[in-house]
Amino acid sequence: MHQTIVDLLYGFGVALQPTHLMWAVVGVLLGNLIGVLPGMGPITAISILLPLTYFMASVPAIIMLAGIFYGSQYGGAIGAILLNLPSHPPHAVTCIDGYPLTRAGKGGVALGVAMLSSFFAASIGILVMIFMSPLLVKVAFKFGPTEIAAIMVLGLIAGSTMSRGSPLKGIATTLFGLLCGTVGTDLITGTFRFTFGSPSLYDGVELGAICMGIFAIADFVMHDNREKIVTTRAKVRARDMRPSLADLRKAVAPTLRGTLIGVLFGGMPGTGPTITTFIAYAFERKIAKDPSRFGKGAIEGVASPEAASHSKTQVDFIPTMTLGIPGDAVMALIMGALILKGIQPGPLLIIDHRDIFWGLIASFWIGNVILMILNVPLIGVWVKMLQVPYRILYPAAVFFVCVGVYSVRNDLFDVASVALFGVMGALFMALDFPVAPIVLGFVLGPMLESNVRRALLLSHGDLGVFVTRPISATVLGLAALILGWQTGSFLLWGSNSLFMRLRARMQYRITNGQG
Amino acid sequence: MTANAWLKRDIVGGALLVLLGGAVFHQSQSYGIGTLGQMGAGFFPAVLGVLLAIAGVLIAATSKDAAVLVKPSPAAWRGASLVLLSVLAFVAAAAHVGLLPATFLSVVIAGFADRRNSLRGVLTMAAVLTVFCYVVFIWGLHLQLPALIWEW
Repeated sequence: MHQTIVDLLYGFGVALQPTHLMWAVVGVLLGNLIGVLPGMGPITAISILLPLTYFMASVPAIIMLAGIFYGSQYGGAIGAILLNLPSHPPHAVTCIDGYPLTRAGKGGVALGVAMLSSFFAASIGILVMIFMSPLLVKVAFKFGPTEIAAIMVLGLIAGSTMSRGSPLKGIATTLFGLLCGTVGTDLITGTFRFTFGSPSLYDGVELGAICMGIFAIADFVMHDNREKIVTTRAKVRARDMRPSLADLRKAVAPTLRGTLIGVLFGGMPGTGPTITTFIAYAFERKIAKDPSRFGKGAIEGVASPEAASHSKTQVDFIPTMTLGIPGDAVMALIMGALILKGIQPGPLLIIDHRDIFWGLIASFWIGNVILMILNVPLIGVWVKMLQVPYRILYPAAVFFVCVGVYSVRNDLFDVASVALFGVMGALFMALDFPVAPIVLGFVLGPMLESNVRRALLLSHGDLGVFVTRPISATVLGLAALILGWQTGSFLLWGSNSLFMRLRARMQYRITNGQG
Repeated sequence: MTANAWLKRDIVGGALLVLLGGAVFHQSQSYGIGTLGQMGAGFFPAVLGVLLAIAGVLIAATSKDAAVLVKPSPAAWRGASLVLLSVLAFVAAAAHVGLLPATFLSVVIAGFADRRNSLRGVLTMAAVLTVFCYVVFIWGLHLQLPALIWEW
């Protein structure tokens, strides 16, 4: 315990150095800028800005990435509250009460409450992370390749089957991602796999190229010419963002409950932040004295889901950083970025790179503080940004994608492969396949393969090792259960999970309630 | 609707996965499969290929989704091809004539993907971004691409 506090103070020392602080500000600003743009969530923001970090040392790079992440997350809330645009799925719930508040002229208050409750939730999430991570690391050291491989399988299955739509399709795109991960030189035998004779592929496919291809370019391919004219009459100034004492009092308890829900669901693989926000909203509505206010501008309906999504995301960092096993595509992307900077998340990170691990945790918190400070004066700018038409935005974005991907390895081949992944991503979207699992599969693929190979090497080819070792057997059993339940219920009832049905029922009630 | 309806979405998707899985399985064998205890480079991809094909069959066989692939409108085709062409034009131009012409060209091509963009608007946008590119990427960040060359 004492050691943890010393480490944490050390981390703040690292993160508070002026240059590091400056990069945190830059990251929050850029992330916020991209996050408010329609259709751009943290994944797009991080993949577009990832190349900027190649010019930097690893500590400032990570601090900036954390800033980008928080900035883009909060940017999504702005679009949801002011324009009824859920550009990032976890904010879909925020629209339900956030937008009516805007129409009632209280958009600024909703933004202020969203900011305060997410700041509080993120702070609690960070505290949980500080005290849980060292504990998990102790356990992680007892894990062999068998256990690690089993946990990865659980993560992949949960991540691919519990999202929206058909679980089979999620599994298919996860497999596709794993396959993309095998491209390049096999580390054990030295064989070139799926390189088609191109030396640019010997080191594998570039993470940035995949992400920008399947998220950015595929989106432009599918959606140029889209007729979406965004207007808002909402004029939000800095002083409108200060909630009244009465509003604050109403928001305190929902924030606490939302935070708790987020922490409980945190680290549970496959339960994305979106599901968590729906549960928080449903819970808030259930216990409200007058549930009919919900959907018409209840401040509780903004505070609770925003808090849940932020504490959940924060706690999700625990398995990513301590085990090296990300739970969803955003975590996979952040982890991929760390690996590119030469940092391998996992139990050794906390021991070998104390400055990075604790610096990262401190910069999480500092990123949140900076976000609060910057957003009060800048809110008017973000509102204007939201109204930039898509048709002006995307040609510039295409150019940034090209330059960005090039700068990662100084190789034009990677830029050309963005076009190829753009075609594949668009094809997957047209066929109604989810594309986010591709990233999860791609990042986990090489680690899964090497752990499976090592596990079987140690057991002399006996597959039974995965079911005779108790931890691995439990984890794989859980994975099988999720797989069976998700596919079974999808095929029988057409909706793939309890959460999804809950969500569908709620949406039905909300739309009917509004008449 | 029926006039430009092609095929059921899930059947097409499943079939493509089976094709991809089969091709991967075939290719993996040339990398050496090995044994469970001593896996060759081809083992893992071969398993993925088989699983992809199984997933494809299951998706096509269990589909309840009646949605069909709708033929995109000419505008959508044009937009999609221009976005992709813009990326490829960037690659070709950056390799042969330098970063600044590549920037201008890719923004112009991508700009025309949307019908509502005017010629003047697109050219202005391209010019602004080219200047921006010079200041930030060449002057500021020293990107390794030459600004202007003539190399065939």
